[in-house]
Amino acid sequence: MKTKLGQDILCHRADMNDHLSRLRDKRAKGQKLKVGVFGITGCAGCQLTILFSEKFPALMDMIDILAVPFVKEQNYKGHFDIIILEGLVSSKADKEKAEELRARCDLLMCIGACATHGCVPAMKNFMNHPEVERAVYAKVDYLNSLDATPVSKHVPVDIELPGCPPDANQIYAVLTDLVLGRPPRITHNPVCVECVKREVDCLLLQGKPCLGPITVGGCDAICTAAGHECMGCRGPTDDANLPAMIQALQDQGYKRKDIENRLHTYASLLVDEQAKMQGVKWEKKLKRKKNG
Amino acid sequence: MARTITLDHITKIEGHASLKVKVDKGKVVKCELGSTEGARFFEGLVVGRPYDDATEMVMRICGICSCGHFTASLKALENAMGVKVSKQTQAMREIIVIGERIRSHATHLYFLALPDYMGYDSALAMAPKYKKQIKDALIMMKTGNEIVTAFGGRQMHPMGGRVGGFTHYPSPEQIKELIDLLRQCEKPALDTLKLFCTLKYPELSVEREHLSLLQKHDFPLLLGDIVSDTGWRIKEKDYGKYFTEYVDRWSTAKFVVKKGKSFMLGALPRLNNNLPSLSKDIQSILKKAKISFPSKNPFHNNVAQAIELLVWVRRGKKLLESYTKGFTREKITVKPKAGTGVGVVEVPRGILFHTYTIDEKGYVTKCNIMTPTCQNLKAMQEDVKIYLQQLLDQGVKKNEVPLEIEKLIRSYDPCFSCSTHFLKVDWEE
Repeated sequence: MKTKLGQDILCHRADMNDHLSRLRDKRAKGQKLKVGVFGITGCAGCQLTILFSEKFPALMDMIDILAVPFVKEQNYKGHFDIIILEGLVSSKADKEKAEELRARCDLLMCIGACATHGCVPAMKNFMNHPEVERAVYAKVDYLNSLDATPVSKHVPVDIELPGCPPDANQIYAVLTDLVLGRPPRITHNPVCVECVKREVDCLLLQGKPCLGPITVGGCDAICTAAGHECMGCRGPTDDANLPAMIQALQDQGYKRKDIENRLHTYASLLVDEQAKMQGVKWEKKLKRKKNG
Repeated sequence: MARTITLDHITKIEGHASLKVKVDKGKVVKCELGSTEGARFFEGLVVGRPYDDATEMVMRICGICSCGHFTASLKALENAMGVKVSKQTQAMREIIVIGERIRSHATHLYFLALPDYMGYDSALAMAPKYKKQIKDALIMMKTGNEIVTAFGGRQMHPMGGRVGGFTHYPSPEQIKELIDLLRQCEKPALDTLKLFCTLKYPELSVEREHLSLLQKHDFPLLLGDIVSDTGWRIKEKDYGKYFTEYVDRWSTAKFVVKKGKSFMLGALPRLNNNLPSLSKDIQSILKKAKISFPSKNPFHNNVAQAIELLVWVRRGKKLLESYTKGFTREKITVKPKAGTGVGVVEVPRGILFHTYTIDEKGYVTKCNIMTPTCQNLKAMQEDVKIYLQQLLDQGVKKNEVPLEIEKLIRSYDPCFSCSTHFLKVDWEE
């Protein structure tokens, strides 16, 4: 059931068209969609992205936001049309919460790199973390720490909007699509496409370690437009050519070790999977540790 | 990365907190406040990474104070490598942090704290009746957001700066727009202060050290010695020496103590320690409202934040007005050098402490971070115990207790204030 980023994911869910027609019916009856915004382990930045957005008042008019524990005391306990979820699963409590929320909505929409790819915390999977935990705590049993994984590793996810933080305009656009009952437009082009659109001078050609060519766009190339190379916070595209990317950066004079670390910063699990498929051998010993 | 990494302590918290209290014959005998957020291990993850990567990664600790982590880590890394930054870079960092402070305080005051005092479930529910107030909050949040975006390139986890300087400069037009936005914020900020002066705060006074940075003639931001209201004063580089961290089994956030004792950080200590820099008009508003500082009432942290909101709106405007012609593009030249550096800055919730050890090639070998919420955790826990006892003695009804306790915890504006909206008081009697 795992949905892949970068594809027209909604077309791949057999029941998606049913969902969309139900959403259209609701609209025809003048009913607003019931939406909840929740968070599990993370930095709250994704929820703040929604709150800080200029579109927030418009969003409130468009949908019924019935639960946001971040800013609400009383939260709707029933079933939602859409649940927007931020954060990754890194403890038993997270897993249970994700399962509970999945069961309480028609469409589960994960926002942010933690929820979609595991973000920076997922790097702990590549360290020997029981030892790490023991170094920090005398007793580790109560931590109930699990591998740090994206939500889709545990429950089926309908829509994934990546990014650290995710793009407020994209969240708004996708919600608008859902309100209208049409398949959401989610780009699967690499960041380079958006750089060209914005006429940003290529940072890779300037010798910066930019991951734009292999990273999913939809962010409007905000980092590269600000003169900072793309760090890959939206995860790799499905057709990311890892060997070529690594070679290009090595040709610029970057060390293999640093390149590998960089590739693993925001989407370590997916990058690792893709590397296996493309026959990339990590020079650094990035061996996945299994923990229970 | 098959290496054994020793972590000095675990990374920071935001989302989920729980509280357990035990009352025996009307006496509070046990009170355990802690974070239940999953562990994220940031300090271990940055080891072995080049210094610029470290800044980028540690910002992800917190969405609300990403600019705080950004400036603290840059300061620490620059201290470690002996890098000096230009006056312009320093000013740009101050502006970005001011932007973050404005949006953070506005969010906390209006979205997290105010509904409690107005008898509402949330600011969203208040919106129909309190249109002006919510509009005020949104314009201030927007302004803060625009400042961070203009200087950092994005609204969260800024990418526009790195060790040594900035890679991104706002245009003179953008600066003009920001000044204009800040001008629009002055009245809302003033009204916010007046509003928060009229709220009724519970009586609670706790003797405890209040720590903050000290800056002459102004509110502290990125520079200054660390002082306490008892007259204690140290240099930034010594910050780590005075504090011990410990773990309690009910919390994934560590507790921090100073010589075994709790202390308070945040807007209230900043105000208490920097009272002389308060402008005349703010003083007269406080006088009229009969709220006097220094105050040891943690609920007054809300008033202190409202005061700061006005102070930062004004200071941000003043700072930007000295750069209306735009910024000069500066070349960043940093030579990696081995060393250890400390970076201490004031973030919305108090003093944030970062320290890094760098090897001669510029790779991080050690990192330690103490966030204000960890440092405030012990104080919060003690205050809950004292306040709860006070409530029980006053015969407050059991079903009213949770909201009162939540109000207290929220007044600290902890990074898990979001989760205390979930707060379930687990009674053991």
